[in-house]
Amino acid sequence: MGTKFKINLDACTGCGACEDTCPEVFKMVDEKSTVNNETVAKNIAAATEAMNSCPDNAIVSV
Amino acid sequence: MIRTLDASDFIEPKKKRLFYPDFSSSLTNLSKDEATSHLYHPEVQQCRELFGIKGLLCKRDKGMVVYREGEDGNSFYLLQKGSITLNINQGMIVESIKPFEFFGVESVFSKKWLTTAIVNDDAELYEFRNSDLTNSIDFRKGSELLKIVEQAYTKERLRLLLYKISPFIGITEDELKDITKNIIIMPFKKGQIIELGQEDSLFIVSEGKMIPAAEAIGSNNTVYQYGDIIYKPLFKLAGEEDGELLKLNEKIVQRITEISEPFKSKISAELKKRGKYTKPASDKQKGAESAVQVISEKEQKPAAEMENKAEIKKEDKIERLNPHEIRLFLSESPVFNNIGLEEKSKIAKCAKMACFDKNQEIIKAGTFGEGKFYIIKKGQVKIVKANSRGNFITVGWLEDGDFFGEAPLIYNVENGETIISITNIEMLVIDINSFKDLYDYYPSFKKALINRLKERAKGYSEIENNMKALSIMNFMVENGLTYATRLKIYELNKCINCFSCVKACKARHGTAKFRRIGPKYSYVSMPQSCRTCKHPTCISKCRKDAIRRENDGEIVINSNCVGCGLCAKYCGFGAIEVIEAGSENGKKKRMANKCEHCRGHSDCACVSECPTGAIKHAEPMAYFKHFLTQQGD
Repeated sequence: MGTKFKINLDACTGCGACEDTCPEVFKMVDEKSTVNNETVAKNIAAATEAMNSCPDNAIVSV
Repeated sequence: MIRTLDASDFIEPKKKRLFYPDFSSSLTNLSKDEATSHLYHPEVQQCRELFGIKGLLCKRDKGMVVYREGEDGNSFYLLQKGSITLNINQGMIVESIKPFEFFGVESVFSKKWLTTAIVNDDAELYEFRNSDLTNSIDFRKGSELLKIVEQAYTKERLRLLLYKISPFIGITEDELKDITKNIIIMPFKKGQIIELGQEDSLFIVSEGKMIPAAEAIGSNNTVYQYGDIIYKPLFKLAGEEDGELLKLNEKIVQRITEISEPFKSKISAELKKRGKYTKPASDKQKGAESAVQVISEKEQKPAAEMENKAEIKKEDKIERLNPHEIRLFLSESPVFNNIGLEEKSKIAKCAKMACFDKNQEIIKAGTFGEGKFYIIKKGQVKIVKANSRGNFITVGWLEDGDFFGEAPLIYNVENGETIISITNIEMLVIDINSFKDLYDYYPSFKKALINRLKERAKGYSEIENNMKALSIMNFMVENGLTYATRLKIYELNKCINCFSCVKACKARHGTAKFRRIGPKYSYVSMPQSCRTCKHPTCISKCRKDAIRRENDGEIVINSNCVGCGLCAKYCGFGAIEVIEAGSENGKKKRMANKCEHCRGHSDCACVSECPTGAIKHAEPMAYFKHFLTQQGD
């Protein structure tokens, strides 16, 4: 599995579930999620959980 | 408002062409007094033109509302006669408008009214349509009228901004007026870099967003936006969105620091945050790196002093509240509703706000505490006491409007009870000196306190020797029944396990909205179902406003739910589930699902279908009281 994440902006509904699960990596900006890939390495477990918990499968690992 | 019109504006229409009434020629040669009297001429009152825009005369009686905060605005006003007050936050007066002043001008720019205008004295006013203004004159270049309107708007907005930033709350209106006079506005564009300089000025972002410029040290993704304070800037800032920056000079900063305690603490916190950026090795001469403004030693000294003065540990979360809000809260509280207005104002003045999370110990038995008196604003706490055997038992709980922490302050004895929060709570905190002032000099406050303490003592003595009551109390507190308002209850001595309740729910709603497992007390069982909490944790987490409380108190899920499951995650009782609810545009749609107590139906399916009457909806307090007497028989 890669250690970087990407957001499919078309699929993202802006619910904020990812930010709630892993605020270090995901942040909501203008109703859409954004990724800070620099902090992924430290929080890989939480970030993966956030990816899996996304209701729209809008988070993909690259 | 910055620009007031007076009669002199009408005398020289060629120089100051403010008004173009149809009979302007007749006004040209009048003296000031005559011109003033003509303003009230019956003909003039019908309709007035201001730079070619017609204003319609309206009359408003005392007490009427001209427009409301937050409503869509499409016109602005010029007051001709009477007076009008502008309010924010439902009653906090920010400005009183005198004749010949504009108001409501913010609607030209923000399309919304930011204040509520209430007629103070029977008023006559001219209503100007925003569309007329924008259509008839060159909007961008700005005509004279637009300039006046813009000035009025800027000033108005500044004041409103300052009112809403917490450090400025508590500063009197006059002082705030003084401050707004001396503010310099610095507009910036997207991508533009602004060098903030090394002075002791303070900057507030009033519009748009700013980020530290790329080359600056400490560019830590901080985004400064509406209301953010930037003090002692160390770096260049770049605009991320078009906006405005307000500059408050050194003198004002010093003055506010003297007046406002929260301001001081906010500044010291800001400086602390900045503290980790150490001096860069390079000097100013070294080209690009000189962008980072180094704190000189001179500057560091006062900064350090300031930090020491405003040293705060536990009070990081404490902020000053809006006095009006506190007064309103106190008059609604069952304990303090009878105290006088003066007492309420005094409390509002000296109280600070503190927040605690769930299950935190606020006061420990056997200690003197921190010399603070707490009034619960929102949330619940439980009271834990050691009984004669040395076991800790819950003897009661306190909720909104109640108080605790009084024992060391009134009787100078140790706290007899441990206080632990059972929900997230907000409290007003009054320090020992202010409390003693209140208690000694305001008899109605003392009376309210003593009455409530007597009531409480009576309650304790009733419950303390009643084992059954104690066990019920413990059960209720431990299982979160104290803040439930609609509880589904099974009486297991009647239940025959036929599952007709679940079937009925499925038949009516398509899915079962509850599960038949949950905590039990004696023969009573509580299933996993929505309890309609007083302070629900599910609502605030939703970013889509898809879950909310309706007027009848029920918490419902709207059709715009995207099924993220945050509400389900934060519900402490497993009452919300995410289910698949059909498909939309070829995608499976997920939605949160919870018991809404058959909202919209005349009965609850589960209750009416139960053949033995084992399932009930009850208000927990009332039910358990009934249960207690029944058992005692």
